Amino acid sequence: MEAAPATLRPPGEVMRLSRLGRFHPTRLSFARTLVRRMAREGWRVETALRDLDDDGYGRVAYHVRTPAGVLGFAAFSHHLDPADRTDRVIAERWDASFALTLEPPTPADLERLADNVPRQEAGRCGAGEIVLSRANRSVRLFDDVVAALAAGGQPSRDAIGRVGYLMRTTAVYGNGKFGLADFEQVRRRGILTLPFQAEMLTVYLARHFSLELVDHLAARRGGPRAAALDRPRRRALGVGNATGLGMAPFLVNRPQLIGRWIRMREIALARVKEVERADLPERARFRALLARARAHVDEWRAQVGDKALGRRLATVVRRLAELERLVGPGGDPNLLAGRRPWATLAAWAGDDAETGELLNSILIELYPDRVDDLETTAGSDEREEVRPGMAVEALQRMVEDRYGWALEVDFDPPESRALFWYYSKEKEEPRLGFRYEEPGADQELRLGIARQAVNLHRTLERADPAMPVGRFLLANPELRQTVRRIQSLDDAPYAEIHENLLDRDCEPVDLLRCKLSMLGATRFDPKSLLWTRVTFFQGAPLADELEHPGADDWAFATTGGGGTA
Amino acid sequence: MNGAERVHVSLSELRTAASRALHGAGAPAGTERDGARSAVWLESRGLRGAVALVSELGAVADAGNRSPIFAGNRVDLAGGPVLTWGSALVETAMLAAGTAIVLAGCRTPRVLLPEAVAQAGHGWSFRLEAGGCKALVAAGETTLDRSFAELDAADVRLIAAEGPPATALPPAPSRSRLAKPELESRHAASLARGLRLEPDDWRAIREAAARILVPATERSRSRGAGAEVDDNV
Repeated sequence: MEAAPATLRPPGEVMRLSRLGRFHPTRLSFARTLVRRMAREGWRVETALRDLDDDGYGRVAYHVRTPAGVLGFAAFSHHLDPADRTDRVIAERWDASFALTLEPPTPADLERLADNVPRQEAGRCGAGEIVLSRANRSVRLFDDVVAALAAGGQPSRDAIGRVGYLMRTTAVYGNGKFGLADFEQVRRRGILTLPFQAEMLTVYLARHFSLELVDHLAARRGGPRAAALDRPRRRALGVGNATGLGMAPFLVNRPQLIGRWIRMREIALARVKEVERADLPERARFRALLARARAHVDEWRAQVGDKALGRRLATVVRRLAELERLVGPGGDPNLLAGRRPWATLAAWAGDDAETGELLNSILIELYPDRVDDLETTAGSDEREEVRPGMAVEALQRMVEDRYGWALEVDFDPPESRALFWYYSKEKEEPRLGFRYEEPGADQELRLGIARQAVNLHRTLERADPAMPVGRFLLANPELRQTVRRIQSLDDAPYAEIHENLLDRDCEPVDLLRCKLSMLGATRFDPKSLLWTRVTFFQGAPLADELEHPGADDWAFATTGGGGTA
Repeated sequence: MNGAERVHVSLSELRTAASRALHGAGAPAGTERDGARSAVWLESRGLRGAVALVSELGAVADAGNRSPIFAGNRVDLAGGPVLTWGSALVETAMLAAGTAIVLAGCRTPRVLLPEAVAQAGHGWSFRLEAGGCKALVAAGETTLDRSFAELDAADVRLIAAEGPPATALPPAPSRSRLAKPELESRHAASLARGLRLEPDDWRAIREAAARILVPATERSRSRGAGAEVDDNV
C-alpha cells in the first residue's frame, strides 16, 4: 500500500455528510483518470457504422482502439413520445440506449443488441457486454442546437452554459447487471481494470454520440447551408446525468472501496500540503486555477435551482475573489511565498466546507507529479471475514475506537430512526420511507450502520470479555454483519460515513454528491434531497483531441470551452 | 432437468439475487451475504451452487435467527441451513483448531467449502471428511474427491489448522479428484460466458428475492431513485 503522509485529515473531520456533501471532483476522479489514460495510451474512437435516418433514429457503432485490445460501443436512437420522457428509473422508454462491449460487435451481435439494449432492464445482455445505459435528449437545448446548426449558425453560448449537455443519461449499469459481464471478467481482459472506468467510458462515448447526432440532424435538415457544431462549443458540452437514491446503498455496502477512494484523495491533498515552498510557476498556476475555478462556480451558481446550494456557491465566488486579491499584486506576499503555502491555504477556508473542498481540489490539481500515481489505488476486493478468535473485549475496544461517532447518537427519540431504506417492487428501485408512516420497514435494507454499532456495543458490554467472537456470534447471530464489518474495516479509517442515515434530518443528496464527485461529476444541481442532476466531461478533450498537448487540463471548465490557464 | 433452455445469469446477478433471497427467507444479517457468496463460488465452479441455494431456502426460513448449538465439539444440524450456518461452523472449527468437530446430519457438505476457502485466505487450512470422501482447503489450494461434491447429507468431520495442513490428501487418480487447476478453469469459463442456470432454479431464487421488495404507493413513488417526472425545467 502507498505510503501515507503524516498529515492526513482525521476521518471524524472528513467522513461527515456535511463535508462529503461538499466534495468537488479532483484530477483523481474517474472521469479525469480515464481521459488521462486514453490520452497517455493513444486510444482512438472510430466510427464503424452510422445508420441514422432523417430524424436521427437508427444505430451507430464505434470501435475504441486501445493498446490492450479493441472495445465496441453500440448506440440506438429511437423516437420517444414527449409524454414518455422521464429520468426516473421506472421509465420504460428513452431517446437513446447504449452498450459497451468487450469486442467490436458483429452484425449478428448488433441485431441481438438492437432487440435488447433499447429495452434496458427488460432486455437481457450477455457476457460480451460490459455496460448498459440510456439517455434522453435535453428538451431545453437539443432541438435549439439542431435548429441553429441547420440554419448555418451556432447555438448561443448562454444556452449551452445554462444546460451544459445535449443528452442526459438516466442509468449506467455495469458489473453483471442484467446479464452483463462481471467486473472480474472485465478486469481480466486488462483494458478497464479499475472501478467505474467502463461506466465512465460509456458516458464519454455517449457524449461523442450526442455531438455527432446534432451534426447529423442539422445536415439532414439544413442541407448545404448547415453548419457543424464548432470545436469550442463541442468541448463545452458534456453529458448530463440524473442520479437518485440508487447510489446510497452502494456507498454503505462497499465500505472498503469507499475507504480507498477517500484515502486516495486525502493522501493526495496531504502530499500537496507538505510542499515546503512554491516556486514562481507553481504560484502562477495556482492563481490561474483559482480564477478558472471562480468562473466555473459562477456559471454553476447561475444555473443551479437549489436555493441553499445557490447561496453556498455565491459565498464560494465571493471568497475566491477575496483570495484572488490576497494572492495577487498588492495582496499578502507571504501567503504564497511563505513556508508550506498550500497547508496555509487549505486551512484558509475554515469551516466553510464548500469553499474549502473546492480549494482542496485546486491544490490537488496543482501537482500531477505528486498525486497521479495514486489513481491505481482506487480498487478493492471488498473482502470481509469474521476473525473468530478475537476476544469480545478487543472487539468492544475496536467499536469504541472506531465508532465513537456512532455511540454518541441517541437512538431513543423516534426521529433518530424515522427513515428506512428499501427496494420497491417497481423495478427494484431503491427508496426511502418514513418508518412510522409507511409500510415496508420489515424489509428494511441494513444501512443503519450507526444503530448497528450501538446495538453491538450494548450486547458486547453484557458478554464475557474473554469470550472468543466466534462463540459470541453463535449466541448472537443477528450481529454477524456488524461484527464482520467492524473487524474488516479496522485498517480502513475512511470507510464509514460518520452519520446516522436513519435520522429524519438525513439528507441523502449529500451521499450522492460524494460519490458523484469521485466519479468526476460537476455542476451538481439538486432537484430535491433525493436526487440531483450533474454533468460529466464538460470541457473534456474530444475524441480527436486526446493526444493534444494540455488535453488533461480541463478542470473547472466553463462554457468558454474548457481550460484557459 | 426439465429440458428447458438454461438461463444466462452473471455471477454478480446470482450473488445479488441469492443475498436477497436469503434475506427474504429470514437469514440473520450478514449470513445472507455469506450464503450468497458460497452459492456463487460453487456454481461458478460447476458444483451446483444454485441447486444448493434453492434446497436451503426452506431450512433458512425454519431456522430464523437460530444458530447451530454445539455439545462440546459436536453439533446435530438436523436439517439446519448449512448455507447460512457455514460461516459459524467453519469459525467454530477454527476455535477448536487441531481438533475435529463433527457436524451430524449435514446437508450438502460441499456448501462448507467456500467458507473454508475464504478463511484459508487468512492463513488457515481445513480438512473435511464425510461418507468416506475428503476435501482439503488451504491458502491457494483446494482439492476434493469428486464424490465429496455429490454428497447430499452426511456426518462431516471438520478440522481446522492455523497455517498449512499437516498432511496432504492421499494420492488419487484425477478422475476421482478435483483440484485447483480444474476449479480455476471452471471459474474462468463461468466468468467468460456467464452462468447457465436451470430455469426453475433461477425462478425460485428470483421469487424468493422478491420477498424483500415493498409494494409501491403514490407516496413511495415520490421518494425513489432518479428524477421526478418533469426534469427538463
